[in-house]
Amino acid sequence: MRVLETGNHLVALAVRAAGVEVVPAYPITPQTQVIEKVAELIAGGHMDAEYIPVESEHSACAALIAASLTGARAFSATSAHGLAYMHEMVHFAAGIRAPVVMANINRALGPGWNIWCDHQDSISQRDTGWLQIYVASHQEVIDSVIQGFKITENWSVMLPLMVNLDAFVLSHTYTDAEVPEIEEVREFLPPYKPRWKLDPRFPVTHGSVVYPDDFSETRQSMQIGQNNARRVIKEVCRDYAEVFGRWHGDMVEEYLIDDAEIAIVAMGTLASESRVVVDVLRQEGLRVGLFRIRFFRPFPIEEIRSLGERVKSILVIDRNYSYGMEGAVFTELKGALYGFSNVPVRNLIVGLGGRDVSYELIADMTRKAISGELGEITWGDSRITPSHRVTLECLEEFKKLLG
Amino acid sequence: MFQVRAHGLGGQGVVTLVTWAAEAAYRVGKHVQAFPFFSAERRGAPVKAYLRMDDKPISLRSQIKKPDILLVISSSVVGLALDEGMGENTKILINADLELAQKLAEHLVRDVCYLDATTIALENGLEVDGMPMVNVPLLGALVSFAKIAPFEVVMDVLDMPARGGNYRSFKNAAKAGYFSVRCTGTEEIAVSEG
Amino acid sequence: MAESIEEIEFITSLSRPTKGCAGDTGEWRVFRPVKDETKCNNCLICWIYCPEACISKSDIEIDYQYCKGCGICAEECPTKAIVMVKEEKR
Repeated sequence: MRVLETGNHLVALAVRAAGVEVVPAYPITPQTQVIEKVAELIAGGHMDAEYIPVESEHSACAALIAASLTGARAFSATSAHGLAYMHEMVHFAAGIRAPVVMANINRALGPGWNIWCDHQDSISQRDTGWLQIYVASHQEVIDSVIQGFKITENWSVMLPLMVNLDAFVLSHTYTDAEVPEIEEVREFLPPYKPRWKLDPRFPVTHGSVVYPDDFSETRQSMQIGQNNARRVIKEVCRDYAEVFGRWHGDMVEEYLIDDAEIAIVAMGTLASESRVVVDVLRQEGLRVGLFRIRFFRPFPIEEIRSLGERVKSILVIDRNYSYGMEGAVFTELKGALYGFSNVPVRNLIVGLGGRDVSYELIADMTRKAISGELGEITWGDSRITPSHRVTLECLEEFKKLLG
Repeated sequence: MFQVRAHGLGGQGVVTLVTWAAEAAYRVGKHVQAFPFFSAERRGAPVKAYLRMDDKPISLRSQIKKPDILLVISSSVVGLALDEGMGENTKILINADLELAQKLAEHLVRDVCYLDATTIALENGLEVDGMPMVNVPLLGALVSFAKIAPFEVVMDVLDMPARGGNYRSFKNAAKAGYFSVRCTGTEEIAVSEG
Repeated sequence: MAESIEEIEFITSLSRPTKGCAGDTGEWRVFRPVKDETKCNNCLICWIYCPEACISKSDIEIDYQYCKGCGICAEECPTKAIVMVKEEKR
């Protein structure tokens, strides 16, 4: 079914197509129309599922986990501060190995209050044990939700999965996209078959105390799940392409990398914008390629080592910052390359708090990276406006007041 | 690729207009992107919205600095609209009468195309809470001026919204918009394909 | 039995409630609840309150193998049919 819809509504339509049975969610800001649309579909009798409005994101994630543990296919959506507020339960979902999918609309964390796109919210959930996809197009939003359930419900993975989509650029923008029919999806993604569940026929306790003697192995097992996911992701994406004819990459997506001298590495819609950069710079005779990190967790270690062997330099775009260090993707990528490649890597920080990033800016920075003019870390769109001087004016007043 | 940037005021239906235009293009098989610049929206505040159309899927995601058409829905945001940038070949389409369009054309030293959508909306009784529904005639104007689709497609797009109001008013207003965009420096109607 | 984590792969905090999984907790007892049959009216309040499920519903028998001697049953008994008696040195 071809539709003209926003990214938010496309998530909801994908959730319906995936046969989700329970959707607990906090329906108020910073929630998006994902949940509004799901609630509308359920209330209108167009989706056979239970919608549980709760009083906070923390409870939303708790209910999400509980629903999953009863053996239901469960989904929720959140954004920015909502994700931050559920942080404790985000860890819990992974630790308890609940195979749920959650859409996160990527927004900046305040203050200053800012509803626009960057990746700080989900990057801050890096170490929770969730699988994380960053999507670059509306079509990929739909396909990733469906692939997501197939990946997380695989018995060798059993770790929750977060589909991250850029606020406004994807969430609120209308675009044409193809939504698969429910019947088609059911064949690819049959009803959830749990490996265990809460069942009075065999009562178990789950999530209770685990002593130091036993704890470390439960965490090592999560890492085994992440490692298994690398194989499962490749299988699922390959099978999805065979059934639905659509391919967005698996762990990563490459564009004109094979003969490239410099690779632009990016996540989300900045990677989509960078595709235009590659086309523009290739017309200038510069051998540029795009390496889009699709899965940030598990991190594409092997793919990046292979990239390090093929290109002469790498420019990593981060739409986040790990304070006291550098862009998070930059750190991770260098970690993956350590001991395998000495290729120079540069870091470009752009688009924080939803600042518009044009292909012209990225192209300009890429030219500088090629000519060696770019420093190790560059805040590429930084400039001072009159608003920034207000801090200075206030400080001067405070100096009079406080000395 | 064809790009439009629209400027107007909250309550004028700027975002709806751009979404409708995207739907018209979508109905004739184009790949489209329609998005507003979101902020703390409130009635009367300046609003920006963007539209991209292409025969192939669109990779660009950034805001549009050099649109093919700069659509100005309220004369009070002309300054803001110009500040956001134009290309050498950007065509300006403004909701204004001849007099205002000529003034702007003289100021910019380039032709300005115009449609008095406010008058058309009011003549057809299209008004919501004291705001003329200028987006109905301007949809017609944009779809014809940007050569997006024939007039029937405009009415296909307006079919659902028009059901909530007076269908004939919607049709007359959209039609007037579609067939009466004029440009300074010529007496001709800008576009009048069937 | 699997010997390595690679063989088991999946380890999480699943656990099974089993009788006596913490050992013979009755040995921790300092005071022993003793029931006076003449005062007991079979109201079952002790059965409801016992946090260790050591009192049987059918005949209100106390399982001294696991009773930790917390005294809640004696505290709650409305007819004072249960009294706490110091354990003799074993």
